[in-house]
Amino acid sequence: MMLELRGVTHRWSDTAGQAQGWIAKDLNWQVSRGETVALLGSSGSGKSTLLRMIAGLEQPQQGDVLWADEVITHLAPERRQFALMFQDFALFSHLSVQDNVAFGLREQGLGKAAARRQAVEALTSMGLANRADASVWSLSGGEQQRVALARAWVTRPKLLLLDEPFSALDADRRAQLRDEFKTWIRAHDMTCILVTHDEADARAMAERAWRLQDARISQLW
Amino acid sequence: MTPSTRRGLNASHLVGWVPLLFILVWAVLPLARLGWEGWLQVQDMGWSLLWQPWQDAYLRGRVLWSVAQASASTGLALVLGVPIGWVLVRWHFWGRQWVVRALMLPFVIPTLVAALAVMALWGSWFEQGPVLLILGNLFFNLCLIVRGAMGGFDSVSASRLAAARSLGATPWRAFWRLEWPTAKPAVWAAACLVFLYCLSGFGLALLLGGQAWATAEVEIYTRVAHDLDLPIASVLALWMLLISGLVVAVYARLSLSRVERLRGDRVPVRMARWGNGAWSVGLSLLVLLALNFGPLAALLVRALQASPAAWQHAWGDEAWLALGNTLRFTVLGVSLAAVLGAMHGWAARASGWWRAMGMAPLVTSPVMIAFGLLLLWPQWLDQLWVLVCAYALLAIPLVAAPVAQAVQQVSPRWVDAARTLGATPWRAFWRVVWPQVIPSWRRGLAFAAATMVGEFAVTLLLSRPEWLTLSTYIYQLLGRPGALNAQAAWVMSASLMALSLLVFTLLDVRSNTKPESDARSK
Repeated sequence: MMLELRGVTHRWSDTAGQAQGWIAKDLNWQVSRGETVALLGSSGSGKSTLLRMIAGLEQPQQGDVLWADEVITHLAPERRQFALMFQDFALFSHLSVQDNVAFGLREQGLGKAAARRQAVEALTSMGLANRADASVWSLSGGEQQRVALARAWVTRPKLLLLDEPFSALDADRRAQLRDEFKTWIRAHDMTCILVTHDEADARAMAERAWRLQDARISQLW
Repeated sequence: MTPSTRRGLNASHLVGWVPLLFILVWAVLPLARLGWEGWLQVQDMGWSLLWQPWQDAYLRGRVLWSVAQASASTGLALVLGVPIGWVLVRWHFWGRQWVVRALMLPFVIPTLVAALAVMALWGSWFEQGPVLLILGNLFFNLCLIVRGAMGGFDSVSASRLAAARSLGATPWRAFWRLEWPTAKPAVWAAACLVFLYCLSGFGLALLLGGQAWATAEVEIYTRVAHDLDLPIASVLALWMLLISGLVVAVYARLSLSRVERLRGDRVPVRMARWGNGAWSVGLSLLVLLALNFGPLAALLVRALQASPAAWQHAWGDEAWLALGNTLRFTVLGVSLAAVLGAMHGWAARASGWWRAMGMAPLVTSPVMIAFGLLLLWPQWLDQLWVLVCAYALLAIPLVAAPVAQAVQQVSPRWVDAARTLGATPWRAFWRVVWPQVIPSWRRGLAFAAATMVGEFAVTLLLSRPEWLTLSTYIYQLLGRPGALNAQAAWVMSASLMALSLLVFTLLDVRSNTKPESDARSK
C-alpha cells in the first residue's frame, strides 16, 4: 500500500476551539500505487478535511498517516510531495498562467527560465500554450481548471489530491474535463484521490470508491 | 486550530512583538507617565484635583465642548456622508472616477493647511469659533464617512437585493432592510474614527476654535506650554484618555465585523440622467464642493493673490531650513515606520487585540504623547531621534492598517496551495502573500509620508528652534503681526499642500489598490 490512514480520529472544532462533530472515528483506509480512488460524502461530512490531513495541512487528533509504510503524520506539507488541487483552484492572481504552473518547479530549485520552459510544455500538452502569458483572471472556468491541474501535475507529485475539481462547471464541460483528467492521470501513472459529492464524477474517474458518512468509511465499489 | 496554524500564529506574534514594543515605549509609556503624573498630583494636592475637570465650570466646559463638537461633527458627517456614499456607489456620471479619487484629498492635506483652507473659504462669513471648527472637522471627516459608506454599500449583494425586490420590497424598504444593515458596520466604524479624530484633534481646534472655544486638547497644550500648569493638564489628560479609550474599544469591535460579498455579485451602477439620479448626484457634488474641494481652491486663490513681496518673504532662509527639516524628519520617520508597520500589519491579521494595539498611536492624541514624552525623558528632548521615533510612531498605524487588511484578504488556500507545491512557510509568505501586500504597503507609506510632511502637534510641543518644519513655520507666521506675514502664511500653506500631494503621488504612483487608510494627521 502506498497511502494508509491508520486509526485516524478527528473532531472538528468551532472558532472558539470547542470540539464539535466527528469527522473520523478510528478510521482505517488504504490506497494502492497507481490507482485513482474516489472519496464520496455529503457536504460537511469531512471528506475535504481528510484530504487536507493527507496533504499535511491539518493533523489528526489521533492516529497516523503513512506513505510507503513510513509515518508522515507530522511531516510538513512541502516535504510530502503530494499536490492538492483545490475546489476553487487557488490560482495565484499576481502571477501569470505560466508562472502559476512554474511555481512548484521553482520551489524544487529549478531556475526561472527552465521552470518557465517546463511550465509552457505542460500548458501546451493541456492545449493552453497560447494562454501562457495571460492573467489567471482572464481564463474561463475550464481553463482555470486545466491550469490548476497542470500546476499540480508538473511537479511530478507522488500523490495527486483533487478536491471537488468539477463542482464549478456546467454538465457539458464537466464530462469533457473528467475525460481529459482521467486520460492524463492514467497516462502519467499517477496515484490519485478524488474527493467529490457527485457519484457520476466518481464513477467516471475512479477504479474504487468509498463513502465517508458519520465519521466512518465504507467501500462502495 | 491545527499545529501548523498555531506555529504560524506564534511566528506572527514574534514578528509583532518588535513594533508592539516600540509602541509600548513611545506611546504607552509616555501615556502611563502622564497618568502617573496625574496620580502624583492627586496624591500631592488631594483627591479633589481628580474631580476638578468636572467641578470647575471652566474646565467642565472644555471637556463637554470637546465631546459636543465631536458629536455634532460626527452627526453632520453621517447625515451628509451616508447619502453621498450611496449616490457615488449606485450612480454613474461623467467625472465620477475623479470625484472618488479626490475624496482622498483631505487624507493627505496637513492639518494647518486644512485650517487655513477652511478660513480662506468660510473665514469672511464666520469668526473663529464653533461653526468654523465644525466646518474644519467636516473638511477632514466627511470623506471618511463617504468612503466608509461606499465600502459598505459596495458590499451589498446584487442577488440578495433582487431577491428582496422580488419578495415585494420597495426600493426604500430594500434599502432599509438590506442595504443599510449591510453597510452599517463600515459606517459605524468610520463614525467612531471621526468622533475620535474630532475629539483628539489639535491643529484645527487651535486655529479654528480659538481660545474662547478651546477644546480639552488645546487646553492641555496651553496649560503645558504656556501656563506650566502640569497638575490640571495631567488630570484633564486622564479624563480625555478615558473617554477616547471607550470609543477606541467600540471602534476595535466594529472594525472586526466583516461583510462577505459573493464574487462578481456587485449591484450594477446606473447612469444618472435628468429626472433619474441627476438631482441626487448634483446635490452630493455641491456638498463635497462646499465642504471639501472649495476650501482648497480658495486657499490656492489666496496664495496666488499674495504679492510678490509676500512670496519672497515666505520663501526666505527660514522656509528653506523648514523644508530641509520637514523632508529629513519625514524620510527618517517613514523609513522606520515602513519596517515596523509592515511587521505589525502581518502580526495584526491574526488577532483583533493585536490590531487594536497598533491603532493606539492613531487614536491617541499626539499632544498627550508629546506631553508624556516631555515628562518621561526630559533629558533626551534635544536628541533628534526622539522626534524621529515620535514621527515613526504616528506613521506606524498608517502603514500597518492597510498591510493587515491586505494580508487578511490573501486567501489561506493560496498559502496551502503554495505549501503543497513545495514552498516552506517563509517561501509561501515571500512568493504568495507579500506580492499581494506590496500595493497596500506602498499606499500606506504614501499616506504616512504625506501625513508626516504636515505633522504639527508633536513637532510644536517637542520643537526646538533648529527643528523648524514647514508646519511650525506657518504657525509662527500666523502669530507674527502684519499683512505680509499673513500673506506669507497663505503662500506657505499652498506650498505645503503641494509638497504633501507631490510626496503622496510619487509614492503612490504604482499602487493600484483602492485606498485603504482611514487615517490622517491631527
